[in-house]
Amino acid sequence: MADNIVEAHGLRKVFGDTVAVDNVDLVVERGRVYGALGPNGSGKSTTVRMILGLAQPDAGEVRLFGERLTTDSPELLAKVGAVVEMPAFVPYLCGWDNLKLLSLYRPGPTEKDISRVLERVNLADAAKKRFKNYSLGMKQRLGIAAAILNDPELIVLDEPTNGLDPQGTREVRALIPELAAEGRTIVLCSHLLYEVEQVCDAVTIFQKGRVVSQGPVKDLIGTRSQLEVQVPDMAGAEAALRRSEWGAGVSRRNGSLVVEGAGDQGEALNRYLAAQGYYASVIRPIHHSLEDVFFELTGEPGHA
Amino acid sequence: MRDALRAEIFKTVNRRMTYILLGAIVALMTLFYIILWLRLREGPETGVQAQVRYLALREGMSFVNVVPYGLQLERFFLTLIAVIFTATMMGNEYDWRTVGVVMTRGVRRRDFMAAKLVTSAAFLLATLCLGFLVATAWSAWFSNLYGLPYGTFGAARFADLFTSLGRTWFVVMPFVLMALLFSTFWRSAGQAVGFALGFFFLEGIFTGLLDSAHGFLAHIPDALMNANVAAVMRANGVLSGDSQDRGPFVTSQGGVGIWQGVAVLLAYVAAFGLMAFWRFQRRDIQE
Repeated sequence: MADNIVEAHGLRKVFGDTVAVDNVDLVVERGRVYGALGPNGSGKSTTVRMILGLAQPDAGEVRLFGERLTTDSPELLAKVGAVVEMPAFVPYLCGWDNLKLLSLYRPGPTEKDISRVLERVNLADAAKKRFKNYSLGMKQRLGIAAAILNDPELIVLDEPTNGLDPQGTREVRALIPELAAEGRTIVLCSHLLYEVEQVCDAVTIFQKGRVVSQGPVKDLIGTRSQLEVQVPDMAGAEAALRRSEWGAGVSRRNGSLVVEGAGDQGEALNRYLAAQGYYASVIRPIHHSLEDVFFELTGEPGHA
Repeated sequence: MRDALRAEIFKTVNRRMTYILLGAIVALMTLFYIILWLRLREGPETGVQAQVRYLALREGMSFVNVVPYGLQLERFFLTLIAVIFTATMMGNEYDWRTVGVVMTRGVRRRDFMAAKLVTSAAFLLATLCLGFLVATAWSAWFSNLYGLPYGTFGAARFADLFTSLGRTWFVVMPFVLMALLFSTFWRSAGQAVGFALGFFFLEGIFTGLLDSAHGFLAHIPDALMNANVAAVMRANGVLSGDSQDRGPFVTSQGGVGIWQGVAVLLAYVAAFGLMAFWRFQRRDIQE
């Protein structure tokens, strides 16, 4: 059993004169909830399409479950559940019939399974309503129901909370860790950084068709941890800190000293300052969000 | 392939368009027979030519001639309906973006296309039979009304009937595959219907124009679809009667033989089919 559910190496995709994806490497480990972030046109959706076999890379390769993906890899894709961009279903069929249709294309799920997944996404009451009459939120939930219908090992969700009301958003955010707890691997594309930070273990940040950063969310945020320090003699304390191991990352901001990379070293820093004769009135870590990291890496405003 | 076919049948059975198109063949055939009946009621105009035309029309509408006349009439409507059915069946998958959903579920692309082709061919056959039943009912009524011949019933006549139904089904199939190709190529139902029907009508016009030309130009229609369709359709119902009037939609009486017609139409079927499958297999699924 492959530990890497998705492996992409050197992916490149060109549309006319536009390089949509350029030399993207991606590894998604089994059981992880993986976030793909990036502004519009950054290449994340094209990358997802290549991972799902909907688009052929111009260079590079995709491996799913350890095997190379081609345009004819039904056995590999049978282990995947996906909602790409907006959920798409046959408009004249009801929700239940749309899932029935998918179960005909790929036999396995029973009628009981269809009822169960509709129940799980709170669509049981609207099961017999035509898809074209669904609200955006209901369409999203049906998309998620379809994605989990065939009990997939890998679930790819593209903007799954788009159009959902706050209650629906909360339900979907709760559902993702539940699905992960069942041993599934999840790839979540979202422009909601807070959402990704809440539910993802690891993240890849795309910009202009390239990966600008990837790794565990904690590491990405943690490497940018800072301490805010306030002392009566700011000038003296700053000079003392500059002579210390934290010297390279000391700066002043809004009347405080900010020490880069010292977010989890408050006690040691306090001891050092006291030894130098400076007694801090305030020492507190500055918490960064994924949004801050994203902004810093991409130069984009606060959403992807 | 079997799973994809079951899914396609499920969609077709639950699709309102299916019943609209089936209703359309009944309505169009009925409408046309009523118009012809109204013409018959007026009686012949003066002049020998007019008398001959009138008698040929009356004979064509008799029960004995329902195979050549009714099928020729139906073939025209059937082509329109089959093109709309196939082009929307494939094109809507792009318009609704459902093609991507199906492909990510591990369905082979060639199975998906083959299921659509088989469903289209089956729908074409069902529509053909329904339209022919309407023609048969009207012809029986006319024969009763005007005392026209019913002909004799025997194995040979039934064999001729089934062969003729098969020929009519066959001559529409190139248009079905053309609709499949166009919908795959343009990834849109509307454009596919437009281009396929545009081709159908324009080819008829060009064939008519080129028929009156000389030299090399006069032979171009022989390689197009219309003349070959007409060649195959002329073989219909030879045992039923010997009406010279094979219906109002014979656009070419050119010199193409039946086997040449079959060969040319088969070549179109193969070319359109291969191009559609190749295009769908190789192309990115963009929505």
